[in-house]
Amino acid sequence: MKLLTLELRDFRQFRGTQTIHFAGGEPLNVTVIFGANGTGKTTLLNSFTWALYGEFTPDFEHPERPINQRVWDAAGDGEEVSAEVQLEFEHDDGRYMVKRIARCRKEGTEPQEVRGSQVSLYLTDASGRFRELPGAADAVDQILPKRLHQFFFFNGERIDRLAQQTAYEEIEAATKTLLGLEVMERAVKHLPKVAQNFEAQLKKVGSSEQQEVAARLDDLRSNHEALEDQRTQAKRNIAALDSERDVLDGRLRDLADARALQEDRDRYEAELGQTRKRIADQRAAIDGLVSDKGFYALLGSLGEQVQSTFGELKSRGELPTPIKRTFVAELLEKGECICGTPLVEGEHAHHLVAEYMERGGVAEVEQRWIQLNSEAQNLDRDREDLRGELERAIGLLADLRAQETDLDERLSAIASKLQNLPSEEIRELEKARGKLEEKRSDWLRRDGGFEQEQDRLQSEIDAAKAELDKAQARSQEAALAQRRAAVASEAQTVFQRIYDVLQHEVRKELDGRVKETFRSISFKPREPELNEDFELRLWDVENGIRTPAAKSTGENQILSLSFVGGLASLARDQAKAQDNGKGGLEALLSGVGGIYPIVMDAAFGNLDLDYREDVARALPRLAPQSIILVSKGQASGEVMRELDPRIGRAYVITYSTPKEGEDEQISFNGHSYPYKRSGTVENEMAELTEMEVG
Amino acid sequence: MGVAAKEFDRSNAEEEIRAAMTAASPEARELVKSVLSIERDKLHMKLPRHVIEEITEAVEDIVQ
Repeated sequence: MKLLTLELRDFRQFRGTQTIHFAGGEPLNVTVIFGANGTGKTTLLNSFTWALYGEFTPDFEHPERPINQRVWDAAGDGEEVSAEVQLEFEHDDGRYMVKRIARCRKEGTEPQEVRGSQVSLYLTDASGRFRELPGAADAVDQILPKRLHQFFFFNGERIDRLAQQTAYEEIEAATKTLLGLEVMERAVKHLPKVAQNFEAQLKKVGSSEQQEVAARLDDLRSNHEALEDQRTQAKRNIAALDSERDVLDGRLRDLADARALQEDRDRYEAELGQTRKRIADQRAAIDGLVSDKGFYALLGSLGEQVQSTFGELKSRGELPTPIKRTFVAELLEKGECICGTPLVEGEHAHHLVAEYMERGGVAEVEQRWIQLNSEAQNLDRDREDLRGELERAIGLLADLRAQETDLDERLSAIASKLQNLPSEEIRELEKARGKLEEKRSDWLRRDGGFEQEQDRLQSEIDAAKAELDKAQARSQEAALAQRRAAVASEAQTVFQRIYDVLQHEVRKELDGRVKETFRSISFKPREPELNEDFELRLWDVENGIRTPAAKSTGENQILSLSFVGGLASLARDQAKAQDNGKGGLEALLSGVGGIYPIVMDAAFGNLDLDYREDVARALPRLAPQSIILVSKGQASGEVMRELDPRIGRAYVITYSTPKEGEDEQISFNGHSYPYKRSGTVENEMAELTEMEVG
Repeated sequence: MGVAAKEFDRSNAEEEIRAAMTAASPEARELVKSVLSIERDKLHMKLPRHVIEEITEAVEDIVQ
C-alpha cells in the first residue's frame, strides 16, 4: 500500500475540500505535516483509519461529530449535510480509492450526531477510470487487515505501550495475522468438528445386519438348489415313464385289434399337445394386450375434455397466438419496432413492445397442443380397437379350451374302448399304460409343486439380495465415514505441527528483525527481545550477562518502533514471497504480507533530545513511505537535520482562531508560512498549505 | 533500506513443514490445501460462516 493522496471535505476542522499529496519515492519517502497542538494533526491521523475502517482512535474526542461544525451550524432545519474522506493508494500494481461519507440531517438545534457511514472502494481500469468494487469493507481488510493497522497508523506518544507486558496479545495477534498463522489456528479448531460429524454418521449405520442377511440368502439359495435337484429327478422320472409308455404304445400298435384305436390316440395326443401350446400362447397374447393397451379402458372422457379445451382456446384466438415471443425478442434486441420506432430501454415504446413478451406464444407449446389434440381424437378409436381385439382373443381361447376338452374326452373314450376289448393282452397293456399315466400325472403335479416353491424361493432370494445390497451400501458408507473422519483428524495433526513450527520460527525471525531495527536506532549496549510469550523486553548486556533494563518512555518508544519496523520488513518479505508465486509448500508459508506505510502522529512528543535524533534518523528507513505529523516545537533543529534529506512533500496546518494575539509563523527551507492566525474568522478553522521542498 | 533487508530465512521451517506434509497421506495433504484456501477466504470474518460445511464437503470430495 503506497499512499498517493488524501482528500478531506468538511471533515472535522477542515472545511471545504483540502488535499494532501504524499511523497513516496526513494530517497524522498517522507511527507511531513506541521501543525500546532490541537489544530488537526490527530484528525489527519484519524482520517486514514476512518476512511479505511470507519473507526477513530480511542482518544479522539466527539467521534459522533465528523462533519465540520461551521457547515453544520450554517445548515437549515431539515437540511442534510455530510463529510467525506477520500484516500487514494497503490497496492499490488492497482490504483485504488477508498471513499467514506458520513451524512446527517439537521433537526432544529439538536447537536450533530452521526451514526454510521458509507464506504466505497474503487479500482482504476485499463482506461484509467475508477470502477467501484463490491464488498468494500472486506476488500479493504484484505489489503491492510484491520488488526494490523494500529501498527502502521499510530500516535507516537502512545506507541510505547507495545513495550508493556499487557501488549503481548496485540503483538501475538498481529504476528499471526501477518504470517498466516491465524488460518492454521482456525483450521486446527474447525477440523475436529468435521471429524466428529463423520463419526456421528458412522454410528448411524450398523454392520451386523449385513452378516444376518447374507446367512439368510445362503439358506434360501441352498433350498432353491435342492428343489432344482428334485425337479431334475422328477423330469427324469417323467422321461422314463414316457419311454415305458412309448414301448406299450408300440406293442398296442402291433396288435391288429388295438392298432386303429392306438393310431387315433397317437393323432389325438399330438393334436392335444398342439392345442395346449396354442392355449398357452393365447393366454400370453391376452396378458400382453392388457398390459400394453389396458389403460385405454380407464381413460373415461379425458379425450373429449382435451378436445373441448383445445376448441375453446382456438375459438378465443389464443391458439395459435398471432404473435410469437421469439419475434418480440428479436425486435427488442434489434432496438427497432416493425413500424420503425426506435426501442430504447426505459422508454414508453420499448415498454409497450416488451409487454407482448407476456402475451406472445411459445412455438413449442403450441405445437404440443396440436399434437395432443390429434392424439385425443384417436383415443376413443383406440379404446374401441382394444375392446375388439380382447373379445376376439378371448373367443379364440374359449374355442381352444373346448377343443382341449373334446380331445380329452376322445382320448378317455379310446382308453375305455381298449380296456373293454376281448383280448386279455390288450386289456393288460392298456391297464399298465393307465398306471403309467397316473404315475406320470403324479410326477407332473409334484414337479409343478417344486416349480411353485422354487418361484417363491426365487422372489425371497431377490428380496434378500436387494436387502444385502442395501446393507453393503450402508456398510460402505460406514467405512467411508470412518476414512473421512480419519483424514480430517490427520489433516488437523498436520496443521498443528506446521503451526507449531511456524509460530516458533516466525517469532525467532521477528525477534531478529526487532533486534536489527533497534541497533540501527540506538547505540546503547542494550538488547531487545521478542520472547516466546510475544512480550517485548529490553535487556542490559554487560560481559555477556543479561539483566532487565530500566526503560524510560523514550526507550519504550524506540523498542516499540523497532517492533513496528521489524513487522514492516517481515510484511514486505511476505509480499515478495507471494509475488514469486511459488505454489505448493509456499502457499502454507504465505500470510497476508504487503508493503505498508507508517503514519505517525506526535512522533517526537515524549522524547528526550537524544532519542528524537535517533528516531528521526530511523523513521524514513522503517517503511518505504513515512508520513510524520509534528508540531513546530517537536521539529527541533536535530530532528529536521536528520529528516531533511528524505522529505519529498511538506504541509502546514494553518490554524485560524477568533482569539487575538495568537499569530505565529513557521519557517521551512527559507520560506515563512502562517502557523496560527488570530482574529480573522468567527470560528476556529484549519487549512492545509503545501510548503516548498528542497 | 538499511533495516532488516535480508530475506526471511525459511529453510528450517520449510524443511520441517515438508517433513510433516510428506509423512501425511495423499488425502490428508490434499485436504490441508483445501482447508487453507477455505479458511483464508473467510479470514476477514470474525465468525466465519459455513466453514464446517465447506470443509465437510472438501473431505467428501477428496475421500470417496
